[in-house]
Amino acid sequence: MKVLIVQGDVVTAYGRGLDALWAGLLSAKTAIRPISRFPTGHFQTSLAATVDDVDPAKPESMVMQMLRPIIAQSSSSIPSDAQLILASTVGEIEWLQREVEAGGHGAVRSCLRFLQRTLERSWGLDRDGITVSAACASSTIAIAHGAGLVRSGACDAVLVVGCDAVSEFVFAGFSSLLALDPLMARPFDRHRAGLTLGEAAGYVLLMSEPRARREGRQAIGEVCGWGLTSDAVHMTGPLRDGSGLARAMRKALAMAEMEPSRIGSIVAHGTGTPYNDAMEIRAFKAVRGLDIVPTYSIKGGTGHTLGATGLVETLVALRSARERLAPPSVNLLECDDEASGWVHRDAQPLGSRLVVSTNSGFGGINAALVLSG
Amino acid sequence: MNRGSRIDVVGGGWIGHGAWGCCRRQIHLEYLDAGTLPAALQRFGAINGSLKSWARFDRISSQVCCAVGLALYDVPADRPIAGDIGIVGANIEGALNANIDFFRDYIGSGRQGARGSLFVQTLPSSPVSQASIQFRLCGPQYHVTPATNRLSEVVAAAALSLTDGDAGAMVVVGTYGSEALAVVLATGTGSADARSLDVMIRESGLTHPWWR
Repeated sequence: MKVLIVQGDVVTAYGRGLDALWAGLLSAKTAIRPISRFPTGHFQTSLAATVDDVDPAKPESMVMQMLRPIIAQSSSSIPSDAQLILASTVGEIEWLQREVEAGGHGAVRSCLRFLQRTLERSWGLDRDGITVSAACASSTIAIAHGAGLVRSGACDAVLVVGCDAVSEFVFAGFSSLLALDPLMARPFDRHRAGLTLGEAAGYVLLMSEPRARREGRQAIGEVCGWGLTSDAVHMTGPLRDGSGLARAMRKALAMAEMEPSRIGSIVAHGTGTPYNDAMEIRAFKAVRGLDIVPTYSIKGGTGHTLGATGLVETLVALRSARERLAPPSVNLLECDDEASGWVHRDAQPLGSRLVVSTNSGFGGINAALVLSG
Repeated sequence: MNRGSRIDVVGGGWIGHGAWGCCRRQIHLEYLDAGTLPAALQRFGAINGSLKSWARFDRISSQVCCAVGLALYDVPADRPIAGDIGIVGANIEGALNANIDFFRDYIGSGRQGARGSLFVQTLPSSPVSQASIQFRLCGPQYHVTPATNRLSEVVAAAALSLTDGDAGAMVVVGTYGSEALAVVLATGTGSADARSLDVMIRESGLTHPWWR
């Protein structure tokens, strides 16, 4: 059973909609800038990629501020029997922040199940959804799980929603791990020194081919295969040789019944940390039969959007495949030797509409999708 | 792919109020203090290797790792598992307590210094990550908050990874208060050692409706 992606939308620091995101990436200009949302003097950096008009002081949570316009625009075209899968790392964490600051004990509202229910109600869904949390691979695994439901026949419509916001909670955490680049994220750059946080929210609607045909929906892409693995060695550092991620990629290609040589591009996790980016390139090289193909990271432009990142990158991958153009890796000045030939400062023409999307997360989680645009 | 394959529950481990055990092997032993459980399970043989890293675990991580160790121990020695073993964790509150601990500690420092050792616990998936590292589980790994607060839903989610061929076996582990239950799912062979989830739960003695 084919798993089609029939609809999607996103908001990032580049603005609302996939067109704004795509134009921003092609411009090679970053959306990372100084933030004033909370004091940053004691953190590693004061930079992040935040969405205009999202304000933690507003009554609604930051992720809902991002999602409300998306919901309003899409609710008439999302079927009420779609299964919701929410992907997020910390969701509406500002409820917890406020409660702790006030010395209270009622931070339960920050739990992801409340956000999940809010989204079900807002989209008018009449099925119970689930929340998938897998660190920075949350959306990718949510898409894989949704695709599994469609392929197995358990559901014929799945709404995958990914979201995370730039909060003081998360900023403090990543700064405590010394994971932030004091300048800004430079994925695959020789002088890269860490990640930059970003925020985003969006959705993709997965549908079985028969249902899409019945409803006259045009596909914007297809989820052809997926592979999930764990490094099982360390909570924050990846397996340096990339073998865990390489296995995930091979699994995804095997599920898609595709030779690696057919892949035309890779949208990498590419956080800008020394270890992640090195690990990924080694993983790509370890997949026998995978040619050197245009490989890019969007995180120099959008920042690292945590639980939303896989979903944002899936939408970019599908647009990239359709345009037959891999966007530049924003902020790349001097490519790391290991990534030479793979990652470019400029947009690259593509010969194939097949894309591999990879994401990795804390706990040694690896996820790979094979997508067709 | 293994679509249409039967899924068997081939091992189960549980932690209850003052007792712990293995489902298939019908082991039921008592404990007084949850802090002594890891050492007790190590002596029992359900946990191998050093417990040094366990000192940094929060309560849920410790519960999860104990239950997973017991579940894996409960799998028959002659039960072949081809492929990766993955893990899916589930609970209702996610990482709520870890989140509170982290942010309270940060506020208490005058917002001057957050602790990375606390931050890494603040993901709902952190406990299954710890179990993945402890028991070298190299398959799919994620946390699920089920809609209807029933473990059976999480088992269904994990079973997809088996039918997709993404794993040879999946450990599903849930925590609820001071209780934890882990079961090992594998593609069915129709062997006499196979159990249903309901039987495993009944054998555990855990009675909260969450465990259905």
